[in-house]
Amino acid sequence: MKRVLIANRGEIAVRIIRTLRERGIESVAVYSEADATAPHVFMADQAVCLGPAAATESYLNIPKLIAAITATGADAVHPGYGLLSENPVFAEAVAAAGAVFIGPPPSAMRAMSKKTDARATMIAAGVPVVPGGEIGDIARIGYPVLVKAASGGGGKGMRRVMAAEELEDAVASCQREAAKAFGDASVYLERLVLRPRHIEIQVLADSHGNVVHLFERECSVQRRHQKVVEESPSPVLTARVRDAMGAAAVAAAKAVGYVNAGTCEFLYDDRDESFYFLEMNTRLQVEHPVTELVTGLDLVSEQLRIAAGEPLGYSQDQLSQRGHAIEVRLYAEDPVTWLPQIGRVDTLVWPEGPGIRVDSGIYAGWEVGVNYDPMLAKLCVYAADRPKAVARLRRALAETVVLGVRTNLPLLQHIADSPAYLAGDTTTAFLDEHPFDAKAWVDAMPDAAVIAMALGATGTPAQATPGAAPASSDPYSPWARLPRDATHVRAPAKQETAPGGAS
Amino acid sequence: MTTLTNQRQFLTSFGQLTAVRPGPQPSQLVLECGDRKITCRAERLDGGPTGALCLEVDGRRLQAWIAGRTIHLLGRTWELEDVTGRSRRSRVQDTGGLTSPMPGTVLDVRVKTGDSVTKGQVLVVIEAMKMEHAVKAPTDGTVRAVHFKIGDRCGPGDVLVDVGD
Repeated sequence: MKRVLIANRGEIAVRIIRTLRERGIESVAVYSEADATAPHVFMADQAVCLGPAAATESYLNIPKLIAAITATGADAVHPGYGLLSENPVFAEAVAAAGAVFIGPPPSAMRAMSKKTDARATMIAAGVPVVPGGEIGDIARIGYPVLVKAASGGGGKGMRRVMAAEELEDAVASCQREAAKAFGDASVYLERLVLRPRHIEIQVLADSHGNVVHLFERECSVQRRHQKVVEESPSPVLTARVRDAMGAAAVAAAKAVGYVNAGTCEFLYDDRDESFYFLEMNTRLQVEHPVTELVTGLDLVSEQLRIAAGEPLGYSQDQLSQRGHAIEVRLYAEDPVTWLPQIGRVDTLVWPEGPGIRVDSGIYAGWEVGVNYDPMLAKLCVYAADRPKAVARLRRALAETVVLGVRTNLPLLQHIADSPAYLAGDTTTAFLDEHPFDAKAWVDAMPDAAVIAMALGATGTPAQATPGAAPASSDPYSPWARLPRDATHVRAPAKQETAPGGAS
Repeated sequence: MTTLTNQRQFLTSFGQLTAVRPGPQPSQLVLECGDRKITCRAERLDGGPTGALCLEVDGRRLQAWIAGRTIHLLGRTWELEDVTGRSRRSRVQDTGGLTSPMPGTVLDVRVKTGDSVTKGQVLVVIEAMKMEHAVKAPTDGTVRAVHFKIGDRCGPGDVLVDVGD
C-alpha cells in the first residue's frame, strides 16, 4: 500500500491522514467546493476536487470518486465513517478500479446493512436480538415501540412511539426521512427497552479467519438517538457480561464472514444484565479513539494491515483494557434545542496537558455551513480510572474555547458536572432525566463576565510605543545589550549574502 | 490599562438586564442588576494572547475571550447582548411569531390562516441536515398568517407562522 485515497471529510479524514503519514503512506484527499480550504485538504499529500457542495455531487458521487482514484493512482481507499463507508456498491466499484477497499467485503456489508436481514442472521447465529418485526406485528410487539428505517443508521430514520395513535404519523415521517437519507423507505418495528444502556463491542477480523474483540464502549448518553459521550470501559459491565457480549460480537462477525474493523451495538438492561444485538456498523466508528486509548492500538493502522492481507498477529488473551477513556462530541449545535448552528469559528483554543486527545476538523476562521454534519471535534481524555477521567474531562472542557458559532459545550459541561454521570448512572434516558438547565447556567454567570464584556467594548488598550526597545533593568539580560532603537534583530551581513539564505 | 468611560447595559438570554458604569474612584466600576449593586476595582490589562482580553477584577487576574455577544471566562461560555442605548421596547422580543430554528427547507405546512390550533400541534415541518424538525404551536390560538409554502428555503430566525389569540 503506497497511496491511500480518503473518501471522506472533516475530522475523520484528518485522523486517517495522521496514521498514513506515520506509516509513510501517501494520502489523497477529496473535497467538495464548500470544503476547498478544509483542514484535510491541506494536510493530505494531494487533494482532488470532486464537485459542488451537495454530497450527491461530491462525497457521495461514486463515478467522481472512482475517477479520482484512477487519476491519482491510489492503490487503496479508506471510506471513514458515514457517507459511502457502508455502501457495498462503492466497495465493489473501488475493487473494479483496481484499488483495495479498506473495510469489510461487500457481502458482509450487505448481510448487515439491511437491519431486518441482520436480525435474522443473528438469530440463526444464536446472538440475542430485541423482539420486533413488521408494522403488522405491532399487536405481538406491543408499545412502546421504535419505528426504524431498515437501511438506517447514525440515529436518522428512527421514531419513538408511545401509544397507538402516534404510530401512523411516525411511520409516514420515518419512511419519508428514510427514502431521502438512505434511498430505501422500508421501515420496521422494534420493542423499546426503557432506560437501556447502549454498549457496543469493537471487533477486528483479518482475512485469515482470526477474529478478536477490543472490549466495549458505552455510548448511552445520547440526544436525538445520536451519541454525545462515549467511554471505555462501561461503568457497569461485569467481566462475565463483557466476555459474553464480546463472544456474541465475535460470533456475529464470523456469521457474516466479516473482515476488518467493525462494531456490534447492543442494548444492555442493568436490571437483569441481559443484552440484545441492535446492529453491526461495518466501518470505523466515530468513537474509536476511546478504544485506542484503553487498548493502545491504532485502529486505522490495524485496518490498513488487515486490508493489506496481514494476519492480526495477536490473540484475544493478549489484549487488555487499561485505564479509562471518555470521548465527548463537540457540535455546532444549540445546547438546549440541539439544533444545528452555522457560523464562523472566531476563537478556538483546545485543551492541553496530560491525558488529552483532540480530533478536530476545524480551525479558527473555519465557516460551519449547512451542507454537512455539524460535528466540530471529538475531545478525549484518558486517566487511570473513571473518577480521574471524569475530573480530567471537566478540566479539559473548561480549557476549551470555541466562540463565533454556538456549540453544545455547555451541554457537555453539564453532563460532565452531573453527579449522576460521575456515579455512572448513564442510560439512553440520561438527558431526559437530567436535562440541561439553561436558566441555571445563565444564573451562574459571574459578575466578572459582564465586567469583561463592558471593558471589552471600551476599545483596544493603548499599545506599546512602536520602535521602542523592550526595557530591561537586568544588565545580564540579552535584551540589555541591544541598541535602544532596535526594532528587530538583523542577521549578520555574511548570512544575508549567502546564496538562498533567508535572514 | 483601560477603565470604563461610559455606562453599558447587557441583557442575558433570560432577559436579565445588567448595567455597568464607571465608579466614583479611578478604576472603579459599579455593577447593577435588579436589586443588586456591587462596586469593584476592575481594569483591562495590556498583553495576553492574541484575541484574549486580560483583566483584573478586585485583585484577581482573569483572561476572557469575546466574540460578538459570546464570552468565555473561568471555564464557561455565556451569551450577553450589549443593549447600550437601546430603548426598553426594542429589547422585548415579539413572541407571536414562530421562527425557523435553523436554515432549511419547508417540508410541510399543516395549517392555513384562520385555523384554530392547540398547544403542541405541529404547524410546519422543516428539513435541514437530512433531519426533520417540527415547529409546534407554543399555546392555543388562531393562525394569523403563514409566511412560507412547501419547498421554500428558510433561514434561522425567519418567522414561519404568526399565531395569535
